[in-house]
Amino acid sequence: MPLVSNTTKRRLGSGQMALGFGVHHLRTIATPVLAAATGHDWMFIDTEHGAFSVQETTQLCIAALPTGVTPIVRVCAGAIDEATRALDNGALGIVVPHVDTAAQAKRIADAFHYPPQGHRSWGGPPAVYGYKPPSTAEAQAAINAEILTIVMLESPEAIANADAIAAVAGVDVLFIGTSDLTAELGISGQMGHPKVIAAYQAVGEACAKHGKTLGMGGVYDEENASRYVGMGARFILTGSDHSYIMAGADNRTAFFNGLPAAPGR
Amino acid sequence: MAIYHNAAKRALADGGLALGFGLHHLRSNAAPMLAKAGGHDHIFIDMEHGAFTMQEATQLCIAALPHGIAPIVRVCAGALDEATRLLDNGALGIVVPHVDTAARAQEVADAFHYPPQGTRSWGGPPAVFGYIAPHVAEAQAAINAEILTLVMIESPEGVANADAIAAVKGVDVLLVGSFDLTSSMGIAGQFKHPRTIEAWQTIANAARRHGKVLGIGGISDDEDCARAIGMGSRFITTGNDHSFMVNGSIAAAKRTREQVASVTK
Repeated sequence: MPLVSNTTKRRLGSGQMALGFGVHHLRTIATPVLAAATGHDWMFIDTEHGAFSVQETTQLCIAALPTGVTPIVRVCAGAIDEATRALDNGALGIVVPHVDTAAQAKRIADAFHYPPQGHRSWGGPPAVYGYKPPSTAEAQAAINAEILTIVMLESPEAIANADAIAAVAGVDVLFIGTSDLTAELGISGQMGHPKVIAAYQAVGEACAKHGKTLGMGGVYDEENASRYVGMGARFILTGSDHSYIMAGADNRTAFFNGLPAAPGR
Repeated sequence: MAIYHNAAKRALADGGLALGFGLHHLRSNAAPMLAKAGGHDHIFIDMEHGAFTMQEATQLCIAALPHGIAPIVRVCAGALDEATRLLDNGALGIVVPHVDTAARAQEVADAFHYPPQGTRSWGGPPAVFGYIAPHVAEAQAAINAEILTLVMIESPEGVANADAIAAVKGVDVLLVGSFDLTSSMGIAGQFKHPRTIEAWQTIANAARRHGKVLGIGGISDDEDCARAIGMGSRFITTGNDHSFMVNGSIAAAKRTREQVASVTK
């Protein structure tokens, strides 16, 4: 069987926007179908802040593959071993948070790619081939080319090192963790602060120079999100199951409570 | 979104074979991918004899849909309420065992089809439309046409009523339960017995007369399978995860012992 296509990588490669559906609460296999039904290109399974087991994570990844929604997993900063297990069981992209230096980015790129590009270990039935892979050499080369390696820049040190991080071969996306970045800058939650705009400018220039994609996380208000998309952000998280449920449910209670006939409110 | 096509129903409508991959042990959403890798059209989730929960069964159904693998579930004879919950959450076909009369077959067909054809209740997000359903009337008509209703004939009474059962509108497949049929005839497991063959032929004739599909289940040896296919059997479960693993592991252990013996003698 052919390798499952990474539709998000393809979109980013042609300069298009790729929209992510964050997953925190859901464990049902319907999740990727819901992401597709709502116009998303990728699913962001957050194991940095969500309580997913590796089994739960990879069941969602495997379920996403035939839907065309790209399964992308965020691991904890030190959990590179969990990242390769996710890749072995269906993930087509990994987000590593808190990457501050080019040396860290290089270690991550090495861990996620098979030799000669890196040092990833081969093993287990290859889910991304629908369990029917070609020869190992051919499969390893194809998988190296298909996965997305995404590093998160979310500190002043990382922003200062953006050019060197963008230069690392095997890193595809520089994803700004805007929420943690503002906390580190002492301007927590100020998504439109000049220092944040300057950070997007610096990372955007580094990406443009080295042919990498700029990503935006943590910015959900329309004014600031519009600005950063205007500055080149293409790998974009639209929200998460949590925020979608809260917004939708709030909207419904507001409607009923706002009815003139609503008693007792 | 258009409804997910029922690959098994379409293959059968064209006079082709529908090959099923039986599930007893597996709970992973990789199961439909494994079925596809092995060249099957549908998965046959056995809730009559397997210990699946409703949640486990429907997760497998939802996972199968985007692969083009039709999820078909066998429920217990009295569990029509479980059958409609399965249909609500992704199943595209239901097998009801131990159907002995046309009246029972009619109850089954009524339960599985929306009005005006039957009495099925509408509810829940429509998985078979990828959660983007058209107008409810259009959706109900499309689902009525896409699902497979299979009734099992596995008693002398069922054989005697085969013609009347086959005549019931909304029944698509007459599936012979060869083990229980021969048990109830006092010739348990004797698939080459003249009375077994005569019963199969009676059911095959009934199916042909009413334009319904025949399936002869429970058999595995080449001679029995060839006879069944000669009689028109087209809905076929090739085996299940249990038989695949046991037969595969027996063969692998035998081969390894022979290799060791050939090297050490």
